[in-house]
Amino acid sequence: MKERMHELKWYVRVAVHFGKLSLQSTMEYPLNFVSGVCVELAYMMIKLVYLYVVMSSGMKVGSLTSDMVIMFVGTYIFMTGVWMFLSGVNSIPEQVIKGDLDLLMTKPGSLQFLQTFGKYNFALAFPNVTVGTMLMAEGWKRCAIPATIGHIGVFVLYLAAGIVLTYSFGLMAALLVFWVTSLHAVSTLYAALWDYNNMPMELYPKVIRQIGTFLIPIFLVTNWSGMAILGRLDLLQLIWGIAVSVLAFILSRLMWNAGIRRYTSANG
Amino acid sequence: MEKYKTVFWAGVSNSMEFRFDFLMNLIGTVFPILMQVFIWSAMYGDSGCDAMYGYTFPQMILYVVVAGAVAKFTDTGVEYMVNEDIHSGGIARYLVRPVNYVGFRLCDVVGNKFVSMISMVFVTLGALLLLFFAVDFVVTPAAVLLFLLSLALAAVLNFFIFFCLSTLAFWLTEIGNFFHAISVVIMVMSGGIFPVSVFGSTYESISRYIPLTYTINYPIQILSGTAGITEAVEVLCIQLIWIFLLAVLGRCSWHLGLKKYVAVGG
Repeated sequence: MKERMHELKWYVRVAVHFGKLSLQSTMEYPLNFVSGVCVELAYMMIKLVYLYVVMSSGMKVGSLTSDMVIMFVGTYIFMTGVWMFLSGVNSIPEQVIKGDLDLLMTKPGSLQFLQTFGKYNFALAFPNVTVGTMLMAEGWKRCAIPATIGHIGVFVLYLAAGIVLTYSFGLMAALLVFWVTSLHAVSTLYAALWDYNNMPMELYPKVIRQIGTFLIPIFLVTNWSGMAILGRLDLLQLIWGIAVSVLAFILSRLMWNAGIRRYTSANG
Repeated sequence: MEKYKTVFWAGVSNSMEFRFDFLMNLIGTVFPILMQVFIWSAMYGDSGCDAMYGYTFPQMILYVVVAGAVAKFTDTGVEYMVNEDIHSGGIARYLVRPVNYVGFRLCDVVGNKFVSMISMVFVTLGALLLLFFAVDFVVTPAAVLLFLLSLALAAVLNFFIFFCLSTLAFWLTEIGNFFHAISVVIMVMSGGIFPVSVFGSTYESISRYIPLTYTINYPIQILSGTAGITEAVEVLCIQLIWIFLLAVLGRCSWHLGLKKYVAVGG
């Protein structure tokens, strides 16, 4: 147990060092950082346009008021930031195609860890995480949810489960590169599915809600934290939210191992 | 003329090279459209109004269905091609050939978009049929014809808007991200996601005097019937005027840029 804890500490330390390195290399060209932020702000405009329409019309999304919708859109923007932040996950297809995994394989530590936590994109994550957090806080305030330890704890727990899902789904989508030649189509489709979280799941008909909860549980990424503190989930749904995160993480790990077994170095 | 025809057909075969990607892109277009359909269904259902932002429910559904497809169709990506040619020194090979670079790129883009245009016609017809059977929404053949005409002009207009922007690559080195950001902003301002009337009367008034809305918003207004025949003809004329003005601007900035351009290589 002590050895495990020591190993975990080592990974955390290495992850922090990777973070510092990524930040330093980003700030080497500040203009690139600024232009990255601008690109994300432009994309965020689209996400906010949807919120603007809901707010300006004062419509209800299912049983959710427009104030509640702010929190859900905030969570979606925040999670998009997390997805953008994990550029190590997003760069897997390129690394595999170029044969760049060779070098990482020779390094000490878990290959999955080194690849997926080796690089971070601060420029794309920064605006999303900042605006997402602000919107979540604003939505929370407008909904007059008491800021008790219990409420915050539940919200953070499901937010963390959402982060695990973001990592696992993103990883699984990227790992398909071991089986198909061009990932462009898969990326397009995954991005389109991801964007369904731009609005709370209550907007969609029952059949889509069921698919997004049980078959391809993409709705769990951004909906569960808000729904949990609003008291919209029963015990089974609360358990399902955590169980899916754990299962998705295990599945992504198995897929990683299966993919690596297919990896053939073609580097010269 | 023969050489431009060849470029056009080369563009067509390029676009069909990766058929699976093409199909997935089409599905990727349908997903956000579906989301919008759900939003507007909820909104009209919630408000109980017949019309919102100047559109009835069928007109709004038609708008969001067609806008997604039109935005994909008019997005030429010419700015990235020109940027690549300028920064890699690739334009040098066009300068020594008996070919007009703008004409070459226009034919290449139109060729690449040809298959999309055919699928676009099917998407529009599908939406119209669906609305006809679902809510008895009828569109006149004249509106469809004028829409297709304005759509072709919209694609050319969009080409020149982005061609003008792409010539900035002569003066700026790191411009890829700028193109990325500006194309998203332009899409929203053109009405590629929601009709411009959603953004308030002030922007709606301003939008009449800028070319952006003539690439998506006004062509769809023609189809949905929110613009009559006279207004439709007016839109077509304004599109032609903007194409002319931007073509002149593009040519001027291209020649100015070429004066600054230096090709280095063996």
